[in-house]
Amino acid sequence: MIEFKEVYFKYPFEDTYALKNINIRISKGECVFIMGSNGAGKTTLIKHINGILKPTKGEVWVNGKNTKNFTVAELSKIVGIVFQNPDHQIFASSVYEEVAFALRNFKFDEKYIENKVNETLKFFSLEKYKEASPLFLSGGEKKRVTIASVVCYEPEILVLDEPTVGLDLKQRKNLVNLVNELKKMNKTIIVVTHDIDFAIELANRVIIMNEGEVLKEGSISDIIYDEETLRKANLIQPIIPQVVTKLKLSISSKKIITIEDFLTNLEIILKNVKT
Amino acid sequence: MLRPENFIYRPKDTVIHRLDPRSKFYYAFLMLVLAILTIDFNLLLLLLLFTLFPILLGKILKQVLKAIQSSLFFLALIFIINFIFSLNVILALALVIRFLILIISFLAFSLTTSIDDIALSFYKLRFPYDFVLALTLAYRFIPTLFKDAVNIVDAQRSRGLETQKGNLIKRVKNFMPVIIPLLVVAIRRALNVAEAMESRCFGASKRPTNYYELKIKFGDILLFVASTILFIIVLAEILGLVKIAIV
Repeated sequence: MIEFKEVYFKYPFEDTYALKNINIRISKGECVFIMGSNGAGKTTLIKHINGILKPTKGEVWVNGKNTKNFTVAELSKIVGIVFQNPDHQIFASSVYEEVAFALRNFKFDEKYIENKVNETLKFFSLEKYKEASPLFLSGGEKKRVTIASVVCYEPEILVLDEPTVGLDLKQRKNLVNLVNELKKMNKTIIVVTHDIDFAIELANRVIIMNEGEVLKEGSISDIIYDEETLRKANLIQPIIPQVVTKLKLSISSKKIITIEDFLTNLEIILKNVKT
Repeated sequence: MLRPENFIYRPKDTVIHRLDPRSKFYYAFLMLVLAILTIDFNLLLLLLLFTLFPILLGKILKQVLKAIQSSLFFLALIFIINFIFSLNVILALALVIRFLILIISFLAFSLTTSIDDIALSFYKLRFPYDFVLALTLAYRFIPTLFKDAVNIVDAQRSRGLETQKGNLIKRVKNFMPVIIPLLVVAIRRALNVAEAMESRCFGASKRPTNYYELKIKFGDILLFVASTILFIIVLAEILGLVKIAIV
């Protein structure tokens, strides 16, 4: 379980707080999406989970451990973070070595590493690039390598920072499948994104941030029908809630999130519109 | 920790910001020469006071204080080392003040002068355009590279990398996962910038025109004269030609 207790954070030599009075509780097995405009404090927030940043005030607890008392290396065994830009992490001479990097740092034995890396490469359809330099892969492939290099050591908590950026439709679908697989394995997943459609597909809960504060917390249907919150967070309301809002339906619109929901309820919607 | 944001120009409309970069550089250079020439505590204190005027007029006191705060470790090191070797508090303090004068006078220049103005000064001094542009780009990308370095360190630490463990060789080896992505990112960015520049006709003319011209104004003459007078007086004092009474 992850718990932020009255967390404030200020970067050294900065005047303003990047995080203000953050109180969040994320249970084991939850898939939580953190959304908000640029500079809202989303990345700063996730960097607290594995102790890269320590709170200026307040406490962050991860699986009963106060992050203030543990090193990043210790916390990273529990929390795997995949950062936004793959170029900021790729360095090894081959995809195999890149994926094995964290496993080696955590001192797993070589036989286990070999099996685990091969298994992960297969899962991510990266086997054919095993000996290739990750530096020369395409943007989407690099992204997969970075996710694979974290998923391979099976952290209990997985944090993905803007995972859909640079992915084509097929790779995006693969990512959705991966997150669903991890959800089935009861892993805690935290995703930072601007991609509201990605949240619709996966989120159990959404946290909207604005100017270092939590603006709203709730289910995806609570969020996508809250125009005021979306506006403050610079998020575009998806097309289906836009249509439903414009139609001013008297039925419970919050159930209509996806195109499938819309089509399922089409008959009721049409009746409602006519009246 | 040294943070490049504290050493970088932010546009403001003040007397100092409006001055010609050449006159500001002349002032900073004279202060540097004087600070190096003298070790006299009183004279250095006088020079330190003089460096405060552009800081106050340029409204950059807060930024300067933050930059000094970033340099506190070096200031303390200068004081301690010199005190240990000389056992003279005044001398150790004088050397700290000398370092402060160097920082402050050059901050007065760098914090109030845009890199475009600095580049234009070089250009006007007939430096090749390629050199001027390289200088501008190198300066402009310092904060970006710094941010990249921070992100890379964070990403690698998140995968269990410990840069502070082991002997010197191990530590250097541990930095490879940081250095390689940093170099790759820097080279990729350089190539992207080169392509973007070429797409906008870079190299079509050896001496392209400028958006605006540099002009020496009254304020520049005033700074030039005041700096020169101070330089002459302090130099005369150093050479023993005059005696300045400082209470």
